[in-house]
Amino acid sequence: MHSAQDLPVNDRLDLLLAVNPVRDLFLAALDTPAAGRDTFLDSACGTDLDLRRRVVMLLAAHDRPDPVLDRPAADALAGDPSTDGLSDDGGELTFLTPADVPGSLGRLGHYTILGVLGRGGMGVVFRAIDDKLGRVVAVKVLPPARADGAARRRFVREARATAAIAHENVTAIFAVEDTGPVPFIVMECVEGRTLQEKLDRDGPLPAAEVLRIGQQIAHGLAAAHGRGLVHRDIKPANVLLEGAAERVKITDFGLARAVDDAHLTQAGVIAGTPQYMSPEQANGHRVGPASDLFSLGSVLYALGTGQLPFDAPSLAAVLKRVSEALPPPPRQANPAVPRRLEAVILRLLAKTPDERFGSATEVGEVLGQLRADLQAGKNLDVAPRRRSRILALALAGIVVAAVAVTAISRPWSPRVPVAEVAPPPATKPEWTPLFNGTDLTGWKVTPSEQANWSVEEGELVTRQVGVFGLSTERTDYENFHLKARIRPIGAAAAIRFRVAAISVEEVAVYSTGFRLRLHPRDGDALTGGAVRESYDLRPGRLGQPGTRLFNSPDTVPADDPWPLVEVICEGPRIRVVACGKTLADVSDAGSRHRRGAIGLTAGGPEPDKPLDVRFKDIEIKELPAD
Amino acid sequence: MTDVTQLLRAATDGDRQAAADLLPVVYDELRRLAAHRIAHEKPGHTLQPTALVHEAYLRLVGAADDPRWDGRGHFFAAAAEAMRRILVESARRKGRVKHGGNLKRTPLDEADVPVRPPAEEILALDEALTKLAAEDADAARLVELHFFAGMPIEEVADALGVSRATAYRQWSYARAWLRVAVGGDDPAPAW
Repeated sequence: MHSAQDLPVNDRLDLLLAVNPVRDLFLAALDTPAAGRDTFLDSACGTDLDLRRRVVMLLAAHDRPDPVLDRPAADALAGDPSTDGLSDDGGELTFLTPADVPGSLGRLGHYTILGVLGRGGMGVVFRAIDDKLGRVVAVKVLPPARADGAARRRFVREARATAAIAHENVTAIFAVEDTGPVPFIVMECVEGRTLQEKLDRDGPLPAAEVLRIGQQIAHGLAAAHGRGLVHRDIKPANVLLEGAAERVKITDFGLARAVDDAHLTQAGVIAGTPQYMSPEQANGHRVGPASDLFSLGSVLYALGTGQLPFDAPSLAAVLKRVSEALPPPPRQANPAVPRRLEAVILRLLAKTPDERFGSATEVGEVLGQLRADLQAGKNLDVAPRRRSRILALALAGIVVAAVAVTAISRPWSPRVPVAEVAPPPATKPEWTPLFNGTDLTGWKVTPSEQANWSVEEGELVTRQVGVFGLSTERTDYENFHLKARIRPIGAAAAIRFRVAAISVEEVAVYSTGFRLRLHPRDGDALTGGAVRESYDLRPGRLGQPGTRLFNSPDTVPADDPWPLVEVICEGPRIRVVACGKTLADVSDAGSRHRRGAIGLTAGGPEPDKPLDVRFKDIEIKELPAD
Repeated sequence: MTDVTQLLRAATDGDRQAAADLLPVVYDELRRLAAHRIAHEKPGHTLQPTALVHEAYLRLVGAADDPRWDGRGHFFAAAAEAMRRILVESARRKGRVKHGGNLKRTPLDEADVPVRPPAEEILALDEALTKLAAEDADAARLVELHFFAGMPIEEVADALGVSRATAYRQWSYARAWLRVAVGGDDPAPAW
């Protein structure tokens, strides 16, 4: 199939001349890694936005589980699970029970295994669907051949250790299964690439990127160290970059050991990747949190210069350099590395653990301060002026809040690093317009979608049913009161936003009524419900399991051409008020950390029928954090 | 040689009428089997269409046939369509009973197959599948066999004489297509 990144013109032509270009493109896009799909579609569809939209709708439909179609009548009517299934799985996949979901490799517990994400030092990682919660997860399995006592204990310990960390810069662990024939860990499936892949492709990164990534790694490490855990194998390949914002997720705590673990040194066994290893690791000495800081220094060195601080042709030579040689100063390899960053890197690479930094928290603070200074236009080649430490921390906090990505699904935990805690937003009693009435300033819109949104007479108009929509550039709305006037003509228009536990929340306005749709990540966590009795509370039709639909017909007065919708998010509570009436008042107990963008979208009864949907008076008032 | 075997041989030789004649025979047998099962199983026990289809094959054609024989494909195609009809009829009856206030239980001999997915969804799927058939007959046939007759994709591939990889891809497309068609009024998340 088409390898996608740069589809030659001839192939593009073939696709367009195909009997069913939508199907062919859909299948070709499926063969393309998720990260490259947009590029692929841009290239393959060119200006044919309609074709693109159809394909994207199929892709979106493909990616979501379907409670009806995914349980074919065979299963749906059967008292016991089907025993028919894949027979051509590899020998090492024998622990999977069969499933007949297309493309799936089989099942493990209530997880449908979709494919292999990677193979680490300690097992195979699969992409899978959690059938109960309907979400995509990563499942790490210790191969049966290695599931003996010691390896098994180590594997389970890794999971428990990581699960205890619970930090947004560490991949979240959802479950540990240790009862079946093979133990497995269920964890957050991070969509994105590894830092190693980024480095391979992009080469040395600009200082701002090095600082951001370094700061987030430091935050994740601080959380781990706060739990008494040392990662022991910090390297670019173990740092995942999530989504477009590339939020850092430290992964693979395969070598993590409790700091006070008596068995942490094994003579003759070198665990870890030599190029990023600390001198104490290379020499088989006792390893503590400072060892991770050294590895972080090596990572920052590689990010800033594109070169390894300690490189040599053989493993033994690398280990020797790690323990004895001083690295060439980063600015020698890349003069663009600012002096103050170079100083941090070299201090992290100090041979003696005591000389590095006091803690990962401190490293996070220092990097955060550099970021703030860089953003304030300061020259990082010049030593800083002394100033209020508190101010520096606050600035760093604001920066982090601004780059935080939406839809975090992980248990809340107190975050350790001081610099990361955002200061409470200054209370702004007045309303802030999200739409300025003249253009799309402040809104994010994909290039191919730009033509579908326009501003006419102070109103935001779309005439396309889209799987795309507009969303605010800001993605950290947390506690807010949002209001908008929405006029759907022959269609539905919706406000959407993402929060942590409820992945997509939609308030749709029809010509005569409203619909509220919630996708709780954990269906059981949602309490409360519709206030008005006229609500039709039913599970989503062919939607995600756990979807709550609240329908409220006859809510919009016939003489109101511009129904007013208000959404009030305060802590775990969400209230929806339409035309002055409270429609729903729900709380999601599982969600205490909720940040998201505000989105606008439109839909119609028929996918291809044009519409006329208008928005105006979109305003938001941020509420003080509780 | 049974009547059905003769019909299958004729169908294999290209006799379209024979293929058409096959459907009512298979349909009757499946309905009868389903009704019998429902009458004799514990309440709440559900049926497995794929088992019914295989049992019908054994009864109508016999076990001795070469499993690679092409006639099987014709049989399963007919059985899948019959199963689809039986499920859709059951779903319709459910809808009628619910909305029309007709509280009298439908007699068992009408093979009121208990359908676990909501009846309205079976009906919506059935409708969408008819549309899909107009656009992509192969994909629709695969859905009938896989979803309505409950055959695993691998078996469907064998029955349709295509590779497993092709069958999986076809199913991916059909599944997404049906989702869009059935849930068409739900704009997908924008971000």
